[in-house]
Amino acid sequence: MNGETLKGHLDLLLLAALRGNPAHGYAVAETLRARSDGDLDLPEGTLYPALHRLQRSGLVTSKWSESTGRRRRIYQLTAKGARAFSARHDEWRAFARVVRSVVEATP
Amino acid sequence: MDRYLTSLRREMAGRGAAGADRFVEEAHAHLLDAVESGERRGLTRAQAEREACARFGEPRAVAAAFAAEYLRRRHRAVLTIAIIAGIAIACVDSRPGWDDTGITAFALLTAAGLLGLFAPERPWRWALGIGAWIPLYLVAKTPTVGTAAGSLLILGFPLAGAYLGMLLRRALSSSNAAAS
Repeated sequence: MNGETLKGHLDLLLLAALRGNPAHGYAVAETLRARSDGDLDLPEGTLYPALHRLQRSGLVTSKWSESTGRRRRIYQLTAKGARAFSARHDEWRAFARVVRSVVEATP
Repeated sequence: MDRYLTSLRREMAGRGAAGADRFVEEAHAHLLDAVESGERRGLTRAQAEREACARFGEPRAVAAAFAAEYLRRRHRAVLTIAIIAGIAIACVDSRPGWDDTGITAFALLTAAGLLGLFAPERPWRWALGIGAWIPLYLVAKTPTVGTAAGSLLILGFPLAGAYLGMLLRRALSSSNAAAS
């Protein structure tokens, strides 16, 4: 699945990847790859502008950490981000249900 | 990997993206993690570095994605400034005692020129943000076709200024690139 197909869903995917556990960018990319069995194929570098955008929107916060001997920026969902995830998840479920009912209907 | 990071840094700088240094630092940590992961899977260091850089994306594409975010924010700020400047010029121009059209035209030209110089992407937006208010005021005051047509000519000043600013910025960028 390429970046063009994912356009519009990337924020939800990132919020989902960060839900429950703060993570640095590489861990977020790994989570997306693992949860999609490798089907999410987008340049990992393009995750960062999206993460920074989520931070500017107050959905994610970040801090630099050196806990493992390497300086990394750790991203964490805020309370506002958790609420945004729930809302967007509901929207996504409704959208997917509608599309599935139309696309998979027997002619 | 060092060549990749140098290329990424150059692409980011070339696009004027904000926060380039911190992002390159993040990218460096990301690539090191990816290389370690590749080595754990049995790749050689060189193979792991190639895979990590390929997965991170073409430096040009990554920098473009970053710059797009940065430009979107900058353009919102520039449009806000354009609208505030335009309303201020229109307020001065509409005062009963004000009859110096030359100064108004110069103000429209200069303000739009400065914004075109600062943000040269699609400068017609700054021209409209600055120049739309005087025609709107005139048409609201005297709503006739003649007034509308005549007042639209005023837009020529901010349009000329914004595009002159854009051309000046391009010329400066070209000469800087040639010098380096």
